[in-house]
Amino acid sequence: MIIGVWVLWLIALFIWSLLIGGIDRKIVAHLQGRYGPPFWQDITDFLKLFRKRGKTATRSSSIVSDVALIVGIIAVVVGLSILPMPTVGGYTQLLSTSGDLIILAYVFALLAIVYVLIGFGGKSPYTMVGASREVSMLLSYEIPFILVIVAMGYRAILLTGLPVSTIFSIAGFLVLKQKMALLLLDPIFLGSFLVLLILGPAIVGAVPFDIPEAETEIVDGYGAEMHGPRLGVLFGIKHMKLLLYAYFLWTIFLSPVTSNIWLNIIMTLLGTLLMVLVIYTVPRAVSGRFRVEQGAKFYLLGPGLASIVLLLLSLI
Amino acid sequence: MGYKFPLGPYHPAFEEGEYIELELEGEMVADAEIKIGFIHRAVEKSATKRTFIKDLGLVERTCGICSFHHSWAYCLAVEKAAGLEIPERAEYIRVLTAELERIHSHLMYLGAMAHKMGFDTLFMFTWSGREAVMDMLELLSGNRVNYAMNTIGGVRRDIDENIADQIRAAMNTLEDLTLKLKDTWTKDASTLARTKNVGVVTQKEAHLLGVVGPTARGCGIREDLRKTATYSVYSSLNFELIVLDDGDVWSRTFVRVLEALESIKIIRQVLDKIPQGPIKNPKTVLKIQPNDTIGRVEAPRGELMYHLITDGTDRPARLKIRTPTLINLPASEHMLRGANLADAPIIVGHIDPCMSCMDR
Repeated sequence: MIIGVWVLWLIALFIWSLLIGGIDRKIVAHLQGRYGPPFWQDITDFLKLFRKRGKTATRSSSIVSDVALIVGIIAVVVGLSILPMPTVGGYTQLLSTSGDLIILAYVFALLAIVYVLIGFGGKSPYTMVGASREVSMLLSYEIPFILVIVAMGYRAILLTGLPVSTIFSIAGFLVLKQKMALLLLDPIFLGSFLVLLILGPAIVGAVPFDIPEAETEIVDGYGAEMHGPRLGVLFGIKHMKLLLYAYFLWTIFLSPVTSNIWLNIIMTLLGTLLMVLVIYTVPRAVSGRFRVEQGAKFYLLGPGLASIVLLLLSLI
Repeated sequence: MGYKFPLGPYHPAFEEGEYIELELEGEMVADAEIKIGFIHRAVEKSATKRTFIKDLGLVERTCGICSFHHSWAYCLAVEKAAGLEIPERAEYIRVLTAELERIHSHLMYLGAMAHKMGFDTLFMFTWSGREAVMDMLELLSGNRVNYAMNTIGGVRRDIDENIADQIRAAMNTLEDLTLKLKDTWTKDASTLARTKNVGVVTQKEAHLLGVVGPTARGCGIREDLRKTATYSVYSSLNFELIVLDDGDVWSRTFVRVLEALESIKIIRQVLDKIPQGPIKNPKTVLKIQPNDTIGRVEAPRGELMYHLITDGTDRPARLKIRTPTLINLPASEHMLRGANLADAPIIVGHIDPCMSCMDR
């Protein structure tokens, strides 16, 4: 029963991720003085890609890209199975285990590696450069990301007294949220939230850190050789990665826990949209793209140092 | 180990067909070679098959952005060969159209640069503001791109007080827009990060490379035909020669922002000073005695030169067009060497290359 409901929730979230993509495009268009496409445009685009004939460039490796896409789909499914689903009486995780927060962190890294594999499988100069840029960006944002997760975990231990194995799990944070009215009132959690917001554009590939794709430099980078149904799957994975990160931020820091299932569903959907606006829509509307070394330097010196400070403070 | 990286011939950062073969080491450009000729249309040869007046329509279509300057340089060469005097009112209307075209070109360039940097909001903001100048060109000539304003011996369309007032109002709008752009290009972190200290060329190197137009002026070279080899009525108008010394992509871009402001100043003066009188020399030019003349104008991208040889017939014996892009493009190769791959489209794009002009 629960698996059936979860599958429905998964499908609903996938459609929502495509709708969020359309809403983002509409909002950016209005900010730029344009009308923009209809908000269901990403659904149309997704379906259209599956109607196209799949074709692989002569030197590209379709096996590598197919394996990468399957890994990407699995990573998305695992990520969503860890994040709690709104149910009667609160939220329920399909997969709940000690340290699942760490697994979720690895899901984001794995999705970045999927892009790297797709890039190296493409074997064109554009895809190869895109893949190497993705690796550079991954190294620069992954360190602060993991440090912040650890800092949050240690802070939670201090506040709740729960064992380490419990607190590095989503369930542990749900317990903590029931104890604290608003997690963001705590300075460590507030700092962690801000660092995770700043890391957002790089993790989800938004301007100014869409460096591995950089259309006007490397013609969409790692995905340059993808088209037809394969591009459709990649398109879906990118949307789900964005939704996954927004869902993660919303669930950990902001989502209020109520017993009304419909209220929980609506708040989850609107909450993810709000997070997408903050980490994806606004940055790409107000800034240009940075170079890869500028991006890496920014993340290592800004969020990188901030995450070390947060970790040290959480240990005190 | 190095590898080849193709930019073009069809690339999202470039509006036209151009091919730059980069030799990369990691993401550093070790060597660059720019290949041209993708948009060759045999304009020069075609010009020798048409009469002088029919060539106007041809040369104007050499470029979609600086079409007026092409026809102006051509007219200057033909008028000089035929010994035609131009009425003063026609000269003022030519300057008016040329400066409107310069604003249009510079705003288009600034938007395209923002797009290359991935700053699409600035791109859209700049191009939506550019509509005001496009509207004025349409009001003046009936066309948004190829204006067909010039004719041998003057201009084809006059302006009245109503048009002048509308242009004055549009200049206020454009001034506000350009001042906002000035603010953005001096304060925005991402534009500064992507253009400051990128593609640096010293004044001495720029002299050796022979660059022209805003590309030269952004390297500290005081060169603008409107000032240094003045023509038409520019000598009677008060405007500054914009020169910046940094020699990087930012300074060569920012020169254009300041020049757009100077063009607005020029247009206001033209509208105030324009004398009454005819707009065209009534003498009709059919055949021109053997002659060898040059028409030079300061187009938005730099010095544009038309070399005309006549042989006593009603059509040119030879017409040679030298465009600013052809002169500036080798400098891009120089700037690309040692640059980052991410900066390559910006470095090539910041000289405002017009491949249609260059390939002719």
